[in-house]
Amino acid sequence: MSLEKGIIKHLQSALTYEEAVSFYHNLDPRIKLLYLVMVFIMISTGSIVKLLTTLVFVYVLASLCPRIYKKTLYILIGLAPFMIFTAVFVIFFTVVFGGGTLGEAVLEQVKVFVRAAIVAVTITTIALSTTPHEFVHALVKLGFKYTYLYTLIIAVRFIPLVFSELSDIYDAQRSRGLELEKGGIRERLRKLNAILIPAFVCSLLRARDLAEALELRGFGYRSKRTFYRDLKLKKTDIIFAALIAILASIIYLLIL
Amino acid sequence: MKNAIVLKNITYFYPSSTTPALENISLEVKRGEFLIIAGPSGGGKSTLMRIILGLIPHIYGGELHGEVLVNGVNVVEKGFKAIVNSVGVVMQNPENQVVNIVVEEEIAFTLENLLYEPEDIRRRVNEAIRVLGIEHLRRRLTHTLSSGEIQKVVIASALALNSKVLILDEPLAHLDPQGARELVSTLYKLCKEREITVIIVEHRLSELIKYTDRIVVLNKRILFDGEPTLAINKLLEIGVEVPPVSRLFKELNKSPIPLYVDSKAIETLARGIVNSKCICTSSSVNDNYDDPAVHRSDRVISVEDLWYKYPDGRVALRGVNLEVFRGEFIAIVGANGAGKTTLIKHFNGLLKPWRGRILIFGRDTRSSTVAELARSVGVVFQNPLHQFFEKTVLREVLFTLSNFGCKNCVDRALEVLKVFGLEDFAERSPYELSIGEQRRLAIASIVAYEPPVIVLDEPTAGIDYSLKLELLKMLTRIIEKKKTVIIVSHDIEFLALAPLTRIVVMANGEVVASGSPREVFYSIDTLKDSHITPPQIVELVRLLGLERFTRSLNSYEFAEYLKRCYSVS
Repeated sequence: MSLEKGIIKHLQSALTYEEAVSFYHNLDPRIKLLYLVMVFIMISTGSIVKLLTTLVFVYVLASLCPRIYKKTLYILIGLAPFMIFTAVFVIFFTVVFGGGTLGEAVLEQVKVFVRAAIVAVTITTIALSTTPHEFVHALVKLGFKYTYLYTLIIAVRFIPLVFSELSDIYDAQRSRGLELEKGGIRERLRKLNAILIPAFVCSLLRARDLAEALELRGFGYRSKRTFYRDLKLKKTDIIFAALIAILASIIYLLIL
Repeated sequence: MKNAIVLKNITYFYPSSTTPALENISLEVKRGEFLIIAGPSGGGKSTLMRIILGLIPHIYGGELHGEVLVNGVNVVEKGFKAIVNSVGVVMQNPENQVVNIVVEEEIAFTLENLLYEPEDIRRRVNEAIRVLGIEHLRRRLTHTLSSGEIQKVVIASALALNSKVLILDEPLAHLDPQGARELVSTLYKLCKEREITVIIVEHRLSELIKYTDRIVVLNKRILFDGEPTLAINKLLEIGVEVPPVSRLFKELNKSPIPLYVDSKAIETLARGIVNSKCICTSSSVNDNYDDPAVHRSDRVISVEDLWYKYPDGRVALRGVNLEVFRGEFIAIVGANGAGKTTLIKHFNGLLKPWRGRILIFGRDTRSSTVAELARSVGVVFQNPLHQFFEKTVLREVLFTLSNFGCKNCVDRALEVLKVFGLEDFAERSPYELSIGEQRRLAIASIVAYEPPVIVLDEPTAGIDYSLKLELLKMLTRIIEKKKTVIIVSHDIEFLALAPLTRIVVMANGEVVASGSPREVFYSIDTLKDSHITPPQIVELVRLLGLERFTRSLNSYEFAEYLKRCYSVS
């Protein structure tokens, strides 16, 4: 339990917004979405050279906000056990049953690692510097409907609360002598009820409160909403967008 | 239009209920009034709030008779959408009503929904932040805020909307005394300076009562509506908590009954004291610290230089030393965040020391499992809903019993339920119980397996005075069985009533004082440094200059002393 808990905590802390002043905090969220799309296009390539160039490129860009490195490291450490496990598994099966050479199989897995490292740093960059509210704003500007998008904000908002509630419930039940580690499978599943039912009930109560609050605060009365921030492209936004567009095309088109 | 809220002959039935939750309520609240609605748990306070907000009947359904006007708008007809602009609400669990991740976004949320212009929103948000003095919270993440801070953010979002009515449902339940004072004075300021109508639904009145000039006492119907001084009798009658000083005057049959310790109250008492020449000491100067029931040789818990660090690096406990003996009744007090709950989580091994060690009956917690330690130390946490999952009340108790090796102990479980007055509910679902009954059940399910030490975290949060007295009786009974009880609480007036053997004061993860209640509650400097308000009677005794003769803690003791020594009555 503690290992899983640790990994969840790591991932969770890595993916949350942090209040700070940095280049990325000031960047227009639409440009950040563009950046994300560009990165996904770049990693769709199969060339290891292109992938490595992209890797260098995104990690250099992350230097604009040094916090990113530490957080990316958290994510990678969190993912490492799964990734190593799958890699070994896949290599083993390709070589033994697929008839591929060891070299090819390893290279494929290295590419997977590089892609993961690229996505990790990009996602961290964006998650750390953008509040979900800003995302919603950007997406609404791009034509999406806000009522659906707000589900995302509510999820991000309540996940930490539900997690801390789960740990409170687990503590309360352990104090009543609950031992999840003991007994057969059926016994254990039955015991799990002691955690899941209170968690479910508490979440329902939360949901009721939240629904009332949303109603009382004018959510969903109109099909549109305003946003208190102004979303205008600044000079730096355009420069950054141009920079990534140019670099992406260079990597994609010129490098073999 | 002078009235903010008008209720005319309201009677309400919840869906599929045949008894009314509220009966024939008529109430007019003027603009800029500071109104308190008090009453026992289950008396319909929250229901009334939902009616004013229009949630009843528009979301809850049920059968509502009568008329509700908020700022002249008929809410029953027009629905709550019509009053979104005019009423702000702080719910009982305000963390559930916060939707956004960043404070600033949260304050702007309603304005954005109602299509205000961005520039206008920014101006209003800035103004609300300035008025409440929460500039330091502007960029904070909402899930990192304390309960007091969340309440302020919710109030700010109502202010930004220029709501002229604020309704708060039991806002003091999760605050420590300092937080409570801060909130109440903020509300009072808003009421006086900005003419905002403030309606507070609450049964903890001591901190509130001096600010209001009108109290409504509600128990299904309106039992009283008027000045607080006149309300005291009614409140005493139906068992709602009143300030101890009011209770004292009632005991002494003196009038007018004061609402807080003011110069007039002191004068009235001082006159009686000066007139009589005799000086006698109260029996209550001696305290039960050297109680024969406490076995000083029998150490049940010893905490040795305990340090604890959270995974995120915050140090929560800094070198705590504490010894607990058999038969003791200990209270751990301190402001929110002082480390109280972290400390008790070490007593049954939920947390393990970072440095130092804890011995439970001589056994090191680091080398024992929670289940083993829970045999000796039963911990009851604050929220009973965190532990109910069985179909019936009886099974809840049986679950704990069977975990500790007592299989098929139905008789024993029934016996425990009887002691806690829950035998009639044995076959009901725990979720059907009232909050007071749920709390009793939570305690019963721990007491059932008879651990020698019982620890309770904030057992009085959110329950009314009569339920508190009931709880106290139950705890006393447990003590009489030679068991040890430790409670964590910031409900000082409750502790002043309890036959405690010791009070442990915590601040910033350290134990800053430990001694008998009479010792600790009379060391004003220590309390002040740890942000703890002394009991009201202690304050009064000190102001009268009597602390050399009596160390009374509550109104009963002090009334007894005054009657005996000065014939003040």
